[in-house]
Amino acid sequence: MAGAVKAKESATKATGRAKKKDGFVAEFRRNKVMFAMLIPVTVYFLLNNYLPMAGIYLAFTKFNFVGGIFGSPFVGMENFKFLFSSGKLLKLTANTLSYNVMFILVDHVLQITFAIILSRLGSRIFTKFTQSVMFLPHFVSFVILNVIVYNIFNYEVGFLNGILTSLGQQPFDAYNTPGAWRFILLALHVWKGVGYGTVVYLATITGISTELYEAADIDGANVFQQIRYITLPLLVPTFIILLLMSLGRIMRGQFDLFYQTVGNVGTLYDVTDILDTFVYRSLRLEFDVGMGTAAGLYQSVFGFIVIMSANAAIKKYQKDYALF
Amino acid sequence: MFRKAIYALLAVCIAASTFAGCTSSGSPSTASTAASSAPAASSTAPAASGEKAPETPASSVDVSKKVDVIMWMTGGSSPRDFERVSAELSKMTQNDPTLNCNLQFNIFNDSNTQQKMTLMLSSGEPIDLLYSAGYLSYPLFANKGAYLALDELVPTAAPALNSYVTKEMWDATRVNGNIYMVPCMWEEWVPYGFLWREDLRKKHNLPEPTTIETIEAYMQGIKEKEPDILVTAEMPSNFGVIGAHFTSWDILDMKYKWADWRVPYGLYIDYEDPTKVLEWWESDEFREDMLMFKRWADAGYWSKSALANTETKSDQFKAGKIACDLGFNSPNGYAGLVDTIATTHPDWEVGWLPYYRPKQLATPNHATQNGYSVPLTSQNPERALMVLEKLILDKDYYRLSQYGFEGEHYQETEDGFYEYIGDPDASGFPREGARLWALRNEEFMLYPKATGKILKELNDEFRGYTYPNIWTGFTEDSNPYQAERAAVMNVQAQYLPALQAGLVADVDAAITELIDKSKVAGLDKVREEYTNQWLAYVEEHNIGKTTVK
Repeated sequence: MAGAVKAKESATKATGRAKKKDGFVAEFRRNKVMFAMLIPVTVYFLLNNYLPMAGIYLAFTKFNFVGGIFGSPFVGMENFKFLFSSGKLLKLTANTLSYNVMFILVDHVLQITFAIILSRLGSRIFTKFTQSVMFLPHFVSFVILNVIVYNIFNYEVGFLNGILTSLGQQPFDAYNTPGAWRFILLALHVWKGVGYGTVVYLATITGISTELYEAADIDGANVFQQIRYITLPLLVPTFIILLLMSLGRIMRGQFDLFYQTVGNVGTLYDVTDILDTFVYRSLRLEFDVGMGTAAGLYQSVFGFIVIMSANAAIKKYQKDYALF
Repeated sequence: MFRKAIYALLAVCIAASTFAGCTSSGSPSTASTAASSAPAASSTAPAASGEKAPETPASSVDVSKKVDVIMWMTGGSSPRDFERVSAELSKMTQNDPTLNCNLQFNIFNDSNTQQKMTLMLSSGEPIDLLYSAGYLSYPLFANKGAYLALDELVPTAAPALNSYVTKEMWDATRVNGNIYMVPCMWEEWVPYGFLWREDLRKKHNLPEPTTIETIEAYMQGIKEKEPDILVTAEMPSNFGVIGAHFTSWDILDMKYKWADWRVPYGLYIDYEDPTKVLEWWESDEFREDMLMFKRWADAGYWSKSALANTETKSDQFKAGKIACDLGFNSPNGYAGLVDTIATTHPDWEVGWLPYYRPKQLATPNHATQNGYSVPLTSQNPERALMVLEKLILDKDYYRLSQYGFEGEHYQETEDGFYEYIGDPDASGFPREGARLWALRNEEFMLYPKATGKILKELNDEFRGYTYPNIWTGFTEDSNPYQAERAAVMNVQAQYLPALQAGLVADVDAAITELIDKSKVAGLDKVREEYTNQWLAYVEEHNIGKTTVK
């Protein structure tokens, strides 16, 4: 996708002013190849992202198999009722938001820190080794994670309580201590994601010209000053793009993480329920397409508002970094 | 995930609608022809019946054109030789001039049956026969028009099948007045029961479990004297349309004469007086039950982390990790377990107390317990039903599909029992390995000698105190309160399993919380609607008081 966008940009740049005069047809004629390169991406997004939007209509219907998508009876806002009638919507939205904000903050801080440390290490072998070890959890399936978590926190035979009791401490009843899960989930998320993000930042740091550091060295800047005045400012564009992208998903949460680690433990729901898990649990038995779409629409609209306001804010203060 | 599924569905539907014109709100047959226009003209027009000469005894459907019949069973693994067996079945249906079709029988290897079924039905993929069952939301799918109505199809396409299934059974599958399922005619009782290690009981001289008190005494004995194994490993589970529960509550079957199976929404209906719908969660009995579970949890009969347990009890029992199971299901399951344990742990003994016994009330399975439906996407519904008829009522088809190749996988003993050839555990096609239990037919069925005896004894016992299944025929229509139902079920999933697991600090406070939150979610409306539907059903079918001796 990025490639195509760039191609389009360069096409616009190449033609410059002439575009306005000649109009789209001339523009098209001049850059046939560029437009041809756009086709696959356009088709992809049309089929996967734009065409399905028509399905939003489902949120206002009572779906049945005979009528299909556009033949099912129209019911207005009826499908949104279950979201509100549970009385949990506020809490769910708050949970989803706060978890994601924490994820984004902690993730990026740690990823940037690790990327800087790794870039500063002398030993190539050690750097590569650390990078791989940090990256590996990314490949652990969430289903496996569920087994690991259960075996750590099981009250009677869990790893954690094994250590605690052998140290003469009171065993810890994790599955009846909802508050602890805020941190457990955050830790798991970081554990799984930090390696991946570090690589992205590391790539950006590697792209920074060494001349800058050399010049700073000659001017007598120490390592911390170099990081403060060279590395960090140059990481900001990457950070903002990644931030905007994660903001777009802010209402989604990490379904796999929450669903697999918390699963059926009702005692934790007040703290760990996010919109995704709530919707999944409510509707997996009901098979109500209408209500499912309604919940999805709510998430999307909310996510849309978040990303639009974030982008507007960035546009106001740092015009160049805004996504669009 | 759910969202992705919906989008996938949307993409498929929209793509299909672009070509076929989707706004058809007409009859099922219009929709099925529209759907079939996409993959070439492979279908015979459904409803080309009635013109053929009636010499052929079976059905009056025109079979001159060869078609595919696609059949699916969900939710399990297929045995090693399954493909050979299904290929042989396909050969038979192709060579059979009365069928002239190519049967493609598949098993979906996935444990998440409910979800898979939802996707199969909504993806628009052509399927002619699909397993369906009450516990897999048969009424819900039927209500939403996922299946073809069979009322007129079966008598013309499969007259023998039509008369083989009794009128009561056909009627019991009706949803909104139509039949959407070919129910299984094999009479079966499927109670839950208490399963325990008899050898451990004898070893420590514990009382025989016959009542709740003796079961508790047994568990206490195991807790004290067998520190190396867990007493039991109850876990949260989804009980189909009645939502999330903790499996410990299975034991309450012993105490309550549920009208048939258990009742949703915290209600209670008694078999002896089905005209009264009581509020169970509010009752003293419910409070006592929950206090009992708390006592058991505090005594450590199950893990404090039980709510997060996902390893099935039967696996743990077979592995020797637990000593008993408060909710072990069905005589078949028990017979199978005895059979397995005889080879894996010959030194063990096991016992099973079906919860029918203490209350001397057994009710046979519901008509919609097992069956096959014809999805709306079927391109050859008549031929599908004809194949189904063969699979149930033709001995050759039946034996091959249920037991594999005679002489290779099994043999029939002289006294008419089923016998494995070679090691049962290594069999390429175990007994009923294709999971076609919805097609069981007593006439051709071969019981294995060892388990057959157990089954027969248990079934004979149940026959001694069986009563009609008054639930049969009642299908809840949750359409008027779908939103409230979804919300109530969610509250239930959050609060009820913890309560039933005794993993709450204060039982009374937890009960109050459950009820209060449910009421906020709309419990009153759900209960009222459900009660009205039930009472209307009771009145319509003239169900009155009965006395169970």
